[in-house]
Order: sequence, then C-alpha cells, then structure tokens
Amino acid sequence: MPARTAKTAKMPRHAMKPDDQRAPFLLMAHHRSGSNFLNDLLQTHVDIECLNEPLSMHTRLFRDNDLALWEARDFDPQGLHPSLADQPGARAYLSELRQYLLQSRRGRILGFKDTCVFGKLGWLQAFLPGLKVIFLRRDARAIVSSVLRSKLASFWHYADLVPPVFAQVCPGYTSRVEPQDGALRAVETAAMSVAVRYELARHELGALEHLIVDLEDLTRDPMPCLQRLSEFLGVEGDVEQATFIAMRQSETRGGLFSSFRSVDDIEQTWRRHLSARQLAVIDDVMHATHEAPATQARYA
Amino acid sequence: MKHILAQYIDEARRFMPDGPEPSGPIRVAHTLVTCRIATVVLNELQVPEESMTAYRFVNVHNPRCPLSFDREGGRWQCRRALEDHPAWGLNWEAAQLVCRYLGGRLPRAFEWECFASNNDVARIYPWGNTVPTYALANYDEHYGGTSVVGSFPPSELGLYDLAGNLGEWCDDWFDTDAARPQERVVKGGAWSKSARHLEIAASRGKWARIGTTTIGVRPVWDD
Repeated sequence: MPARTAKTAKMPRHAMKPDDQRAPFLLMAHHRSGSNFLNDLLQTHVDIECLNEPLSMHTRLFRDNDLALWEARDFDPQGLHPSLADQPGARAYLSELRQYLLQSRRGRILGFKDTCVFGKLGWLQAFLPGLKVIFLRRDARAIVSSVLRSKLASFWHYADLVPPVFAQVCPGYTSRVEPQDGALRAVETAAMSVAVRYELARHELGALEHLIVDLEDLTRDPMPCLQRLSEFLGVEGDVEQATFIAMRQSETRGGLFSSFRSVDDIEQTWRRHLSARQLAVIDDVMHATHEAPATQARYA
Repeated sequence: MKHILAQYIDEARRFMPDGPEPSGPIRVAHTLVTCRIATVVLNELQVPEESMTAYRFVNVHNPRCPLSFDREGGRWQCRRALEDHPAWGLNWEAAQLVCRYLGGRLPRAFEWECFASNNDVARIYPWGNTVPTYALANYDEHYGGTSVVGSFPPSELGLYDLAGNLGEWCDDWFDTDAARPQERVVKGGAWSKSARHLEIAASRGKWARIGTTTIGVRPVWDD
C-alpha cells in the first residue's frame, strides 16, 4: 500500500539549517476575547503549531500567580524563576516547553496561546529569546459580557487578584458601586481585569516584536488581518485560513469554548446583555485607566 | 473491574495491515479507551495523584478534564456522565502506559491508515469517499464535545470513531527533522476539528508532553 499524503500531513520537508530558525510566538489575550478562534485559525495554516494555554491550562502555577510581575531579571537558565525554587516538577515542565518551542523553524513555526501572561512578558522574553507576540484585543464591553455569561470569573480568581492590582494601577479610581451590589461588583471587577491587563500590555509590549490584532477587525475584514499575521510570522498565506473564517463565522455552534461564532454574536451579544448601569461602570473603569499615570503600571 | 478490561481486549478486531512497512497481524481496539477504562488502568497501575503545579500523565489542570484523583479515596475517578466517553487529557506517555498495561501498544501511523481504510489506499474517509456529515462523525463542533464511544456507524471492520470524536496518539515522531523530536503523530480528527482532519491521510503533530482536549488512545495488539 503506497503512503498517503494530505494537506494536513505536515511531515518533514527539509533538514534544519541555521537560517531556518524562527522565533517562537505567543498569542496573548484576555479571557473571552476570541483567542480560541485565532488559535484555531493559526493552526489551520499548514506550517504553524500553536499550543493551547500550556502555561495556564497545563499547570496551576500561572493561574495562581496571575498578574504577579515576572521580569527579565527574575529569569535564570537553571532555576527559571524564584517562585519555582520548590517546584521541581514545574521547572522540569517549563524547561521541556522551552526546549520544544525553541525548535521553531521555517516550515514548523511553533508558538502558544495563553491568557495568564500579562505582567510576565519580560520574563517570557528571557525564557524564550526572540519571542514574538500577537496581542489580540477585543472591546472591553464584549469581554465583560462574555466573562459574566461564562461564569469563569471565580475560576480565574478575579475577585482576589484583580482589585488590588487595579488599585495600584489606578489609585485615583473611586467606585460608584455599592459594596452590597454583588452583580454590579462582578461587572466592575471584570472590567478592572481588562483595564489592568491592557495597561500591562501597553507597558510591556514595546520591548518585544509584536503585532496587535483587534478581534473586531478580524471579524469584519479578515483578509488584511490574515495578511499581517502571515507577514509577522514569516509564512505564506494559506487559502485554508480564509475558508476556516467563513465556516466558523457562518453560525454559532458548540460549547463555551467553541470557535464557531456568528459575526452578529461576536459583535452584538454584549449590547443585548449589558444594562445601561453596567455599561456605565465599565466606562468608569476603562476611563480611570486611560487617565492613570504611565508609571503606575509598574506596581510592586 | 478487571473484567471490563478483559472484555475491551476481547472485542478487538483482527486485522492484517498491507502497508508500506513490514507488519504482522494485529488486533485493533474497537473503540477509543473510555474514561471508565482509563480510570481502571490508572488505579491498577497505582498512578499517584498529579502534582499541583505540573502533571506527569493526566492533565488535571484543565478544569474540564473528565479524569481526576479522589484524594480521600486515594483513587482515580471519572465523571459518571462521561464514563463511556473517550478519555482525553492523557499525554503520549500516559497513552503508552495505558496500552502497555492492556498488553498492547500504540499503532504506527501507517498501521492506523491501513486499518482505518481497510487497506484501501483510494479511500478518503473510514466510511468511503462521500463527504462527511454530522450523522457520520463528531467533528466541527456539531456536538460541542466528545460523544459516547460507538455513537456513529462503525467501519466495515467494526471500528468506531476512526474519524472524529477524539484524535488518536500514534507511536511515530511527527517531525523527524527536528534536532530533538518532541511531537508525536495524531490521526483521526476530533470533535472540534474541521472536516479535513477526518481524512485518513490527515495527520497532525502534537507536543507529546501535554494531554489535550482533542486526543485519545486506541491500542493495538500484535497477534
């Protein structure tokens, strides 16, 4: 029986040469901002492999240390990070991940998607030299709405982790939400999460080669976005990606993490779901971040 | 509980691969390893609870993982509703461990293609060459997750879920040109993957260290 071939069969095509090496990439995004869709889209390309959350879904470490600042100076090649001093298993796992991702090369571009990396780009750049970052953004109102509907805020420890960091980033913020109004407080906390992470990204991304992609642009006019993504990752366009977008946006289907979402759902659901009061709270929070002094993001 | 394993092994289908590499007769598991079977094997092997920071075999850090360790009982367990769903969250080493405990091994990619096509090189899908529909396989998020094994029509060999539901770890390295290969071949599409992954010829490579939501295990036995 002769061997079969198919477009998805990404078998080796050439031996590794020094100029074939490619930096690994990180797709970073706030929770519920379309990163599964972009991850799946990237993986549709025959030359790209994008691991799904190897930091936050394959170890607890990064979820538990979400929003803690890890800087380049914290990295050392053996211990990796001071927090890992008593975590030999996590060190071994991360070392294997590093070794794997640094094999990224022409014809097999390796990267990963993750959400618990805000505040850790400095360390990640030292951990994975040359790391390129794709930052996927989404309208804060749509993110907050999706976070609330997915009921994942407690899994991500928002109530414990986010407000203290937000208070450092935006010390001038005064909440108008009554402490006993739990529902509105949840909206405020989710908005703070977006504000804090986007502020951290704003400060950290300048030091790395990066590309910012807005989910709304990818939804409304995908081809220019695809072109930019291909150029950024150093790959030729793949016709399968355009087909993938058309298919995945044709209807809403599947579970909570499905990448089948109609354009209407992506863009309009938050309008149907959030009340005027909730929108005002989100607006307050996002406004406070815009007015925060730049240095506030470097919290202790 | 061991009778469940014996029954699973007994129901394997005899097959003679006629492929590009030499191979003897094998028996092929008729379904993917279910959560129920995986739980029994993990307990028989006394696989310890995974660490809180990094797992060795089972990705317990994904909150949706159907397998978990009951600390009080000191045993692996699975969610009751998912007992007959294929087990996911097992990395390649765990897949190999399960196969070995059952007296088998992971299939080579060419063997997989042979039994998925019943040695018919012209066949595109396990059921033939007609285009996929959601009545034939679980793919493209039609069902939003895994389905009970055996929910879709079997191949003529009596093998279920060769296309869709979960992909299947194979023994082969994927990227043999890598300085230190770390990816293994995965065959067979999955519940969230698009239709083109259902093709018998389609392969993808996955970092062997991780247990994902879309990859399961189908053992084979040398006959």
